[in-house]
Amino acid sequence: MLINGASGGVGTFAVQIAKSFGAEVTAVCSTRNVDMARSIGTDHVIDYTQEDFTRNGQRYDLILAVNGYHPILAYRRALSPMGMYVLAGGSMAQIFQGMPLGPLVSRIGSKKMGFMGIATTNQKDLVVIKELLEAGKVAPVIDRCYPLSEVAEALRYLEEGHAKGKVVITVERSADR
Amino acid sequence: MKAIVRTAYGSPDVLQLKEVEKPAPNDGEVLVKIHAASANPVDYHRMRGLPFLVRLVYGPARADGLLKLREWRLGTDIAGRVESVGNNVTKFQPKDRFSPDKRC
Ligand SMILES: NC(=O)c1ccc[n+]([C@@H]2O[C@H](COP(=O)([O-])OP(=O)(O)OC[C@H]3O[C@@H](n4cnc5c(N)ncnc54)[C@H](OP(=O)(O)O)[C@@H]3O)[C@@H](O)[C@H]2O)c1
Repeated sequence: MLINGASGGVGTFAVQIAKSFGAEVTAVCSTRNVDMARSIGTDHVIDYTQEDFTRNGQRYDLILAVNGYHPILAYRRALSPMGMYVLAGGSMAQIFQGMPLGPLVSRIGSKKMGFMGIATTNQKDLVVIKELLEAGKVAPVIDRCYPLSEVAEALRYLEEGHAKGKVVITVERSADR
Repeated sequence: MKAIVRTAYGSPDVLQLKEVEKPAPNDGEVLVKIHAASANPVDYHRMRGLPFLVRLVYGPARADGLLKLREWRLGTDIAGRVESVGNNVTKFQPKDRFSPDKRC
């Protein structure tokens, strides 16, 4: 599978979860995040400042679009014949193309494309994640921590769009921790 | 308790750290003492009310407070411990470690 936007909050978890299920994972990120992407277990890394994965001839069974933008037909080109494209996020253009056009494009041929919807959590999935965390198969990549009083700074930083893993807000410690 | 509150959509400057009243858990609810939370893109979308679709969900909110935001606090995922539980809560008790999605 390929994850476009593998270095942010969603991507760093997606890579590790996919690896824990035995997938061969290609991560797409920029130069500054190549080493980090390798360190969390990706098999292949594509630096999007150097290479366009939609034009290198590779085909993937599953593409998770987390960040950035590629036209929906470019993603389609990078899918294997029975491949599936799951849109999670990215630029507004990516979202507003994938949401309405995914189901339409899926009617042609056997490739499936669509928006995952807004993530919901349920206890069953959370238990799977808990077990992965306890087994050390998934470990959060934490970029920065900000105290509660600096939430504005934290969001200003996150909005720049280049977080390396998660941005965390910490709340004052107390004795009963 | 302390909370980050806002009364309007806008840049991070709309966020204020305030002392607010600690809520009591209603039936079927738990009160969680938060140790850490994460910042997510959805937080700045809700903060700015952008894209505009966000305002259909959370209300139009004007700076003069004439139209109130339905949700005036931000935040998505949390980790902490249960502080107290409301009536009819059987699965959780105080001191349990708790990490849901806020909507859970
Ligand atoms: N559907 C859902 O329920 C759901 C849930 C959560 C999040 N989302 C959406 O998913 C997206 C990602 O969320 P997030 O928490 O991961 O955000 P994030 O942590 O802010 O993502 C930042 C990362 O994006 C990378 N990036 C920026 N431009 C890129 C590009 N052109 N190509 C590839 N990577 C690029 C950055 O790497 P560089 O610094 O190397 O550029 C950075 O590491 C957002 O659009 C969010 O709204 C959707």
